[in-house]
Amino acid sequence: MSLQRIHDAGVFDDATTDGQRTRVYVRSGELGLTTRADVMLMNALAEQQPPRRIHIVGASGAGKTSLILRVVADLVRRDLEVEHEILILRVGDRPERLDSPEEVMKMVLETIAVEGYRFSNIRSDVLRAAAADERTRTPTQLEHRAGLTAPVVSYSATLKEAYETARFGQNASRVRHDLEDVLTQVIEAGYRPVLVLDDTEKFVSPGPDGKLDETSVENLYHHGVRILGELPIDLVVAMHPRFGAVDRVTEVVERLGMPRIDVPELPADADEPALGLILERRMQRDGIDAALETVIDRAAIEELQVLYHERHCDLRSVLKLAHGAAAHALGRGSARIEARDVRAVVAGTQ
Amino acid sequence: MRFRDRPLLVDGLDAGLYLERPDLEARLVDPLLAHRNVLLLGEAGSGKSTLLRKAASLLERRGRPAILVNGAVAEDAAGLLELVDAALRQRVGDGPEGQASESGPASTGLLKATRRLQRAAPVAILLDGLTDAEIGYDVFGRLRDELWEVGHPWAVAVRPRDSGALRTPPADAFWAAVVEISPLDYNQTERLLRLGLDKREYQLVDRDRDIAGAHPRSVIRSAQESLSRGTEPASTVPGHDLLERASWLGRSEAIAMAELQGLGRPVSAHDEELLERLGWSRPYAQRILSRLETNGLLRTMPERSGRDGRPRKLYEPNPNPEPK
Repeated sequence: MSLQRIHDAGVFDDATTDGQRTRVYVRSGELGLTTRADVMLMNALAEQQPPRRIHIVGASGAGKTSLILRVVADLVRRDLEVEHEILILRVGDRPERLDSPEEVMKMVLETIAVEGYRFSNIRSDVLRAAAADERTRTPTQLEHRAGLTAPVVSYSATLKEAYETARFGQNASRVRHDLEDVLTQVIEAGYRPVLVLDDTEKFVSPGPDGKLDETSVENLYHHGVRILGELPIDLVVAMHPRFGAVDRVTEVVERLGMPRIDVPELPADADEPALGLILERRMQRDGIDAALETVIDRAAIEELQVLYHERHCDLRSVLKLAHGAAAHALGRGSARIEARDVRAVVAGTQ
Repeated sequence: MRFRDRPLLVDGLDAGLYLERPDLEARLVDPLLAHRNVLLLGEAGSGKSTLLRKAASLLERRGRPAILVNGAVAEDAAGLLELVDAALRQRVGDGPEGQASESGPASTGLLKATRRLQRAAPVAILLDGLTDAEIGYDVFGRLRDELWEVGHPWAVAVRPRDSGALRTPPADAFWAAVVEISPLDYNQTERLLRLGLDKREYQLVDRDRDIAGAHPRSVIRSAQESLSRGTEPASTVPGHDLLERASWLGRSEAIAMAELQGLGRPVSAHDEELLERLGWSRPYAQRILSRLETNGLLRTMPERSGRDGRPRKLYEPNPNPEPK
């Protein structure tokens, strides 16, 4: 029974790992979007001269990380003249600690050390395989096939020595020089370094009553983005649109001349609901050999897409609802999700 | 009376006292079996800890290893992750990252600490006692994606009032399901009472059927009170009418008394939960508590704390007020 398999494997559910996110990504072109965010980001990182500074803007759950990961996966797959070394900063330090540029640069340096003295923390093989439109493979199987290229081994050995002997990242007055030295090593090894500040909400404080804590946003941009944007790296910053209301953000973005790429909103006027395409892709990737309409009827897909627009493009929450609706349909003995299943799950979660 | 005033050892000593709630158990356990994370909400005394223990037992029976972690003893996010790592080590041994520990800034320390949680197979992590909002936000917000990558399913039990940070982006997305423990209905209350009382005790307690609609701890405490009264009618017991006597002093006094009874613990006029429930300023709350104390409806004790200066006064309903 296809719906049971879909439910048990969480096929419709929010993808949470890098591999899953890459594997189920549906490109903007496939969705019929004229503004192709993935192509724009790819061009900026692969075609244009470094260093590039790019702003990815999207609400929580809209797909900022998925967009970045898909493009990163495409980058590692492509046979480019210059390979990229990509460091994704995802663990934000407490905003109150990011009170100086030195603290931010120190955080980057320490992350490089944690990653084995390498300016990269992506699992290239996992992403490469996931992006190759392959069916399910476990990340573990793929990870074991990963291998480091000679230039990487060489530069990371040099960095390790520098961290140990020159105490990289330990002396606040030298921290900028240390980071510049690291970047020089990466570039001289033949790589193009890309630093991604993914999900900047992790670097700011939750404000009271759901309001934005402007001070921590200012800290992040003034001490973080502004300074990192002065270094010889490509810088990609993923941001919630409400940060745009903070003056310091506008100031830094203008100063660095960061083009803005918006995470695209699913088209609302397509003949077939775009959300159906997203669910269908997930079924294909998990090897569910069934037509979409046999497991979810059109009214249910439309209901989900209405919720997507109602929830300000929060695709993550809508996918969770789709998973819940599968459970609800199975619970009433049906092998097909109907609109009433979606409504029942919504009623139960509000 | 066989009831315990503590979380039950559902698979051992207290197996016979556990009130089965299959629907609630399934809402917690099913997502964990599917490697999804659950935020479990329950008021004090609702049975969160007991339910987590039951979940651990159910998971183990289905071949899924589970660990119980008391988050109350963690001083910060790194401390919490260390507790989890220690519990994982005890249950399934070391992970591939080993136990090497290096110093570094908080953020990278957390990154390393999170990666150390990696094990060959997922283990359900059942976390209880987390009351520090910052720790919760650091771990399930700032480290959200790292925890997702590590792959263990989590169930975290907190009081609704402590859940704000865990339901704020980016932490909100960590939870595939939010499950709230509802008070016991009439039938559940009756089943609970029959589990913990013998026939004679049950008949004594049965007079006070208004205890239905409460959480297990309140039901048990009400039963204890009924039993300690013996055959004496409830209306003649000193203290039973504290609320009524408070209402003679004024509406605010009655409200404060009701909240103090609801909290079930001694509080000062600085207590944030009390102030939040009352919606009053601290000076006003202090004034009302003092009035209740002057009239003998509250009793006081000094607060034990590491603060400098005069200890604060803690108030609780007076179980033996002067007769009217």
